[in-house]
Amino acid sequence: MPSSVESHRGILVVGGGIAGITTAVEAAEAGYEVYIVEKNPYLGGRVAQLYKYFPKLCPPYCGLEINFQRIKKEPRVRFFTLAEVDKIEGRPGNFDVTITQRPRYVNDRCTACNACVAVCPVDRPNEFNFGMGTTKAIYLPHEMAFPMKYVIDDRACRLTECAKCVEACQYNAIDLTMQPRTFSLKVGAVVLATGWKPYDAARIDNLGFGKYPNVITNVMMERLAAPNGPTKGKILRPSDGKPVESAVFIQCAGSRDVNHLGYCSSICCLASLKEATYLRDQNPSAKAYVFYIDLRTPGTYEYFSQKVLSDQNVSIMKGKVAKIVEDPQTKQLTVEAEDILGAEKTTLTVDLVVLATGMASSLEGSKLGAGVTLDKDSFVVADASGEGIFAAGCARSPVDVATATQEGTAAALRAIETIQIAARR
Amino acid sequence: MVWVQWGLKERALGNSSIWLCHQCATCTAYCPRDAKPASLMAALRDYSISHYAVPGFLGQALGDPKYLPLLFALPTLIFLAVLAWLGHLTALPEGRIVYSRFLPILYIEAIFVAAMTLSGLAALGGGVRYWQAMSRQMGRNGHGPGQALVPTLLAILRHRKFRECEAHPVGIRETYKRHLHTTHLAVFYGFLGLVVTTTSVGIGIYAFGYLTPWPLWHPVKILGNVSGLAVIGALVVFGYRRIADKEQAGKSTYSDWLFLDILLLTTLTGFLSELFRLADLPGLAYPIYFIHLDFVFFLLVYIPYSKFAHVVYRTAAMLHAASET
Repeated sequence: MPSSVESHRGILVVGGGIAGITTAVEAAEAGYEVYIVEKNPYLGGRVAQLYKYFPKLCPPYCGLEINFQRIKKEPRVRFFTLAEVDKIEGRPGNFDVTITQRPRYVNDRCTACNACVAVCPVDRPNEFNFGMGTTKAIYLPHEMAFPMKYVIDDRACRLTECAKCVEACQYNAIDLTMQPRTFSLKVGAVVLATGWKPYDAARIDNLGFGKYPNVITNVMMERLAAPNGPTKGKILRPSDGKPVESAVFIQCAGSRDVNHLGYCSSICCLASLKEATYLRDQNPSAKAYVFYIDLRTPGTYEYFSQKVLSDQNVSIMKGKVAKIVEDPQTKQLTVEAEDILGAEKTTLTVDLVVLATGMASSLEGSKLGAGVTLDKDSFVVADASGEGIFAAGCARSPVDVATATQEGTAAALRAIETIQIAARR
Repeated sequence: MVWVQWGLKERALGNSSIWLCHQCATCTAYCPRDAKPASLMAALRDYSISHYAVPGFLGQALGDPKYLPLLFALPTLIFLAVLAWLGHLTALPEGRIVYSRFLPILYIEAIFVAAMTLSGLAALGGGVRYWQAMSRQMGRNGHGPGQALVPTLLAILRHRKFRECEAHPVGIRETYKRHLHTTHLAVFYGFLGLVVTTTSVGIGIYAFGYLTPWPLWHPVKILGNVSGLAVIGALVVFGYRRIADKEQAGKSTYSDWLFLDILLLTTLTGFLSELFRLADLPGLAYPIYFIHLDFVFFLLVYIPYSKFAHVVYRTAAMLHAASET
């Protein structure tokens, strides 16, 4: 690393989602060197995949753009994409961090001209769209990706055996011989902002995800509704591309459940209500039904809930969905549940079922090791972790974006404090 | 679950679901709160047997261990009285062991025909009360049970419901009930085999004067022995699973164990009677035979009040459900 970097004044931020970016810009603008380590080829994390925020129903990318501008203007923020932390050692004011960065195979000369994609012969599932649709092996993670650079998926690409893209690139931006590199950084404090991943819906085997094409998850619904998503923003049934006339949202799908996630992810009720508005905005006759155990819309989010539920075509039913049956011809789904308030078994047949799956910690199965204490759900227990190591956003607990940014700012302050105190010793 | 939580007792007890349930325990495996709905269904069935029992106090008595001695005392006293009258209490019959010389079959038949008539009427009474409750709580569309009878009986004979239970997808947790289909099939046909054996013997004696004991190679005798072994085998599996799976499979209640044990002891004492007779040990054979009769009485005469009553109530529920559609 450049020798001008004062190691003890540096802050490592693990994760380049909304919480990590917030920590980074806040600390950097206060005069501290920050390194963001992000495992994806782009920054922005889960927020980049959302269509709208609740409760204002504004586009999340707007806020990300502002932060990316701050990063671009702030030389104290450095970031490494496709990178993961192997090891954190040391003490407050003097941490040694080992990082491995996987090859992007595309260098800074990339202008995102798309000539490489035109010649690439290999398809891969589009991870950004949760497997809906494909990209080529060389691809732009998404339309608005930051950094605006292509990347090669080396699990799909045949690399030097093919090399068609190298010929096509007139900027010499592709290097198929790039190798992973491991390097170390010296920092004064560490902020874990590793975020979350959607709970694996296939494990909820009574709800037919992965078996019935029209059973999707809430994050897939975000991509379906997003203009840069697989359907260009039209909410269509995956089985036949027909516009969705009716949808059931199943709350607590794999949450608050002894067989799955034991906790409440705190945002799924609001996410489903929000997604009901996506459907309603597109189709004046569409109907949305939300099956819930408890509708949790804390604080002033209550007003958002009231607003969405004032729509006569959005209805809620208290009951745990036990089973989904697909009509093999029409691919319509019949949802079976116990209507708790009516004390009757009830069934409902719809076009689409959206599973409100919860947020699982990205640190599940992680080996960050010394200094980082995880609870049984793999969330960071900041107080029990080593001094000088902090956590923000969904690395700590499942939270909404507003809370994640507040925690990001708070973590920046704690990291600065640590460095100041260590310097004074 | 909801009805029970809300205290809607009659509505819960007057629903066919509680008896249509064959305890596959899939609900317990999937329950997000680990509330064990399958155990609740089992408890409801237990409760409904005593709830609909005619007369009610016998339903209570079978559900409470403190009445157990009393329930055994009834057949014991009856058989003792007959033996005393025959003079066999003080002196066992001489010579080769022939049980009908100890307690003539005619007497046994008389006692059982009388007791079983009462018990049959009681079972009918319980079944009718449950049927009426179902009609009240669930509504009727006017169809009688008649047309549903044959398909329902066929479903029972084929153990169709148990097979469906087995085919149900099992989630992340084990249900511990996958043995049910096979084990129940064995005990069911084993028991039917024993009923056929007894009936055949009865016919043999009265219609053809073919007196007992029949030789071991006789087809009816073979059927009886094989059936008995099937019953014992199945009951051992049932008992083993109840102990081995204890908590996970749902708790076993007094009535579960009572029914299992009585059926097992009935069959075991039956075999012992046969073995001691063949071994020519009158000192053991006759007392065991006496105990065997006691168990048979307990098992059969108390059908409407023990877990054996599922024969009545489950059939009623299946008939009701089948005649609804």
